[in-house]
Amino acid sequence: MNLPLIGLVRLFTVLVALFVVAPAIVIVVSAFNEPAFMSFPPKAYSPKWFYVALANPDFQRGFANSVWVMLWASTLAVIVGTAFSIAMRRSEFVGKNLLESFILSPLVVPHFTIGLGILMLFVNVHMVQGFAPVVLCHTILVLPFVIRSVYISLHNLDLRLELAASSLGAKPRRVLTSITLPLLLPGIVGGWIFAAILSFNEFTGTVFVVSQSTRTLPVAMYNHVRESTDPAVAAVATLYIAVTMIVILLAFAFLGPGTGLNRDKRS
Amino acid sequence: MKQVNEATFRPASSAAAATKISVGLDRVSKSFGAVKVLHDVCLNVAKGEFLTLLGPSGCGKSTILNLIAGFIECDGGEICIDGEVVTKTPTFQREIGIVFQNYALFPHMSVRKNVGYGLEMRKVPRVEIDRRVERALDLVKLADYRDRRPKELSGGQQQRVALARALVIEPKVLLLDEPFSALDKNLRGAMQVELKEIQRKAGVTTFFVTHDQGEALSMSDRIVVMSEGRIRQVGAPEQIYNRPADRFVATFIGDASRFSGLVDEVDGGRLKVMIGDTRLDIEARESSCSRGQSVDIFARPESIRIVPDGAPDSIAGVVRNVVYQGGHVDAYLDCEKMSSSPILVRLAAATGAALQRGQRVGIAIDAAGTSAFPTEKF
Repeated sequence: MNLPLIGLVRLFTVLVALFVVAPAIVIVVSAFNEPAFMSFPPKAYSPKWFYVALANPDFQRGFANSVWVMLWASTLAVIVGTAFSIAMRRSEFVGKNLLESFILSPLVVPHFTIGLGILMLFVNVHMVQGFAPVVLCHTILVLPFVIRSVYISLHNLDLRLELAASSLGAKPRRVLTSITLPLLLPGIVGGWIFAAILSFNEFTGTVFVVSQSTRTLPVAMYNHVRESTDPAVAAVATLYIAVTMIVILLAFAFLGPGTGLNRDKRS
Repeated sequence: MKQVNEATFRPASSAAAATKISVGLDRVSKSFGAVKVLHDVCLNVAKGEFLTLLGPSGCGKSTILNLIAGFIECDGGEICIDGEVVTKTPTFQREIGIVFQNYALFPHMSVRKNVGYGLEMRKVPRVEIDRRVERALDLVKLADYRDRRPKELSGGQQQRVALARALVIEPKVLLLDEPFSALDKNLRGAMQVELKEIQRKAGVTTFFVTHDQGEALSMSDRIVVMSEGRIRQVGAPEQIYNRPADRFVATFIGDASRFSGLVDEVDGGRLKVMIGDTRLDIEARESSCSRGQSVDIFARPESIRIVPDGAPDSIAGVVRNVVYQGGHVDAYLDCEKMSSSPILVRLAAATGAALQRGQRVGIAIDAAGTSAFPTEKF
């Protein structure tokens, strides 16, 4: 390849990268806009909207709700998903592949469908006010990601380790707690982190199932934008990006190479 | 041969009374789907015996190991360990030690934790666990590696940890599933000697699964030769090698050259066969041979000698190829009238060097180590 062509390719790469991150850049920069309306580029810079956003009771409440829902939903999803994955590995039945591919393909069912379905379900039992519908909605939405993560760990787990443990006198429950689960831990932790990120950012399904008191942060932000155009919401979005990035870095630490569990994969 | 088979094929239930029997299989059968992998296998193993299950892949040897371990259940028959029927006993109550091909060491535990795992499951006091783990690590000469993780050890060291882990619980039976196949050739020989030594010291009944006949011949007290889910022969290594029970065993174990011949006379346990004009008096393996029947005669490379062309009682042959093997020479001879495949003769290096390709020679066969089986009809 000649030099001008390499230059063109590089330019194109930079443009694509810019295109992808442009919205985030716009949001982050306009969060520092001094006037009480969003504009890009800002006329004057100030961090004041961060203080405004942090002092906003709707955002405070939304953040607390989001964390609460995230902790419950991703923990429940990890428990259900791990149990499901182990059970699936140990059983053979007609339609196993079908069930597997259905569970593992969250995109088949749109998020709003699940939100709407859960809303209708909980209206019937008069429980729309509490956290139950929100947590259930998020658990269902993040479950495929947890299962996928645990599945990969299970796939790399040598069955003979469990056989060896049971030959040494370990009852099935001890095999599970001393061999299977510790070796699945990277997958479980990774799955939990992904579930947490997804739950924390979920909007489409959540908007159907939240009530005044259980409103999560993305829903609170949406409501705020409908009534006001001040940069406070951009400041919250900036904080959102920062938190998510930290969590993703944590996820890489657990799932990336060097987890110390690159086991022998011969079958 | 016949009486040996009857003795070893005694049903386990009647033999269980005899205290020396450690493991007994009584008419055990197993199918995977429509494929029957074991056909009514009977086998009794004495306490402390080193028994090898040998056969090509798919012969059912690993299935026997898995059945004894309790990883799978048999469809029919009974398995006894120390006189107790364990057919329905779960693995964790069977008190067996197992060493897998890939060792299956727990990657998240240190060597010491790996070896102590079985004792911990038995709720042995901490102090005694430490003492017994140290003793086991001394036995396999790995005391200095107690705090390492399995992945920090070489293949041979991992294997010794696996062995220590299996032996420390003082199992009733030790099961070895092709433990040497992942080691390189030099280490393999050393580990075979070491393993046999450790097994003898521990005095534990051992089942060893392999498809490597060299390993089987050098390590075993007895060998069980299997094919297609059936036991073909049970016997000491010399017996298997020198007196194979059927043509499968004769060809599967060691090298054997095949000659075509005719039965001239059946005389009790002896068989007089003719290879061309050469008469050979050999031990009968199968009772079904009758006068005038055509047979295949299998001779070991050590049982074949090269004599001058035209010597009395020799078969005419032509040297086709001479292969230098270091300590000895393998000569391949053509003997078209009497054999459709080349005849292998093993010679001292000096003798072999004198042979020329195309040279006409005489072939003499020793009766010892030579077997005859009826020609297969197709």
